[in-house]
Amino acid sequence: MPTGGRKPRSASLGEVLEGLLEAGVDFILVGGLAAVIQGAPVTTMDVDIVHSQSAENISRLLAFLKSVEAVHRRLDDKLIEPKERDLSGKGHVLLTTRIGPLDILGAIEGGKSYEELLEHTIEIDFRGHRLRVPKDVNRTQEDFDRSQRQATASCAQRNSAAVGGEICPRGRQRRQRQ
Amino acid sequence: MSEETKIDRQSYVDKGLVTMFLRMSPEERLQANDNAFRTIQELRDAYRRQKTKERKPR
Repeated sequence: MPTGGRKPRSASLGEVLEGLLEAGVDFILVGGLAAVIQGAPVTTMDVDIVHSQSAENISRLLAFLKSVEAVHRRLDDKLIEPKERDLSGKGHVLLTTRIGPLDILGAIEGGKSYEELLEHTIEIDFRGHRLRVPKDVNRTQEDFDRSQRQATASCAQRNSAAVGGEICPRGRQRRQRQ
Repeated sequence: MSEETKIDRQSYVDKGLVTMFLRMSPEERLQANDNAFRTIQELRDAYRRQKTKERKPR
């Protein structure tokens, strides 16, 4: 397994969240962390968000990603920075940043986007900012399970179709071996 | 669809994340774990506070 590539200087979920909030990015915390904070008996080491895909928000998100030296999380040593088009679709963008891992989802289960999920969220206080999280624990866990499956499946599909691969690092090494 | 893809669909292992953590020293991994634990506690407390606030009669 390659051991090069960019290594985060720290892996702090709190710093990633705080950075996004300070950058004024509109997003909803989803995935494992959202499930865990509501009591789900799982653990997580990355931050998953669904972001608003307005042009202004994508621009703020890209500026934040640049400031934390984000690159696509890959099995090999290539350093590929996220582009605007990566953040404009419904796919999942899995990143390594210097402050920790961050997964950016264009949509979750059933193709639900930020706008569609908004009514199912509440705001909580986090380090002086308002953070949006899903309000229902069961729903969160389901979404978490589904989004995990979806992320894995979409990456596998993309890799088996030999299309792109930059935003989908998990199956890439396997494809290269074939 | 290949057999490998089928296996991949059932697997939730984020190999990119595993690779990222393997690049860290054991001490850094422990630190990351502590950081995650602290953030989760912080978020859980914030979520609980918000829920309590919502339940309070007006």
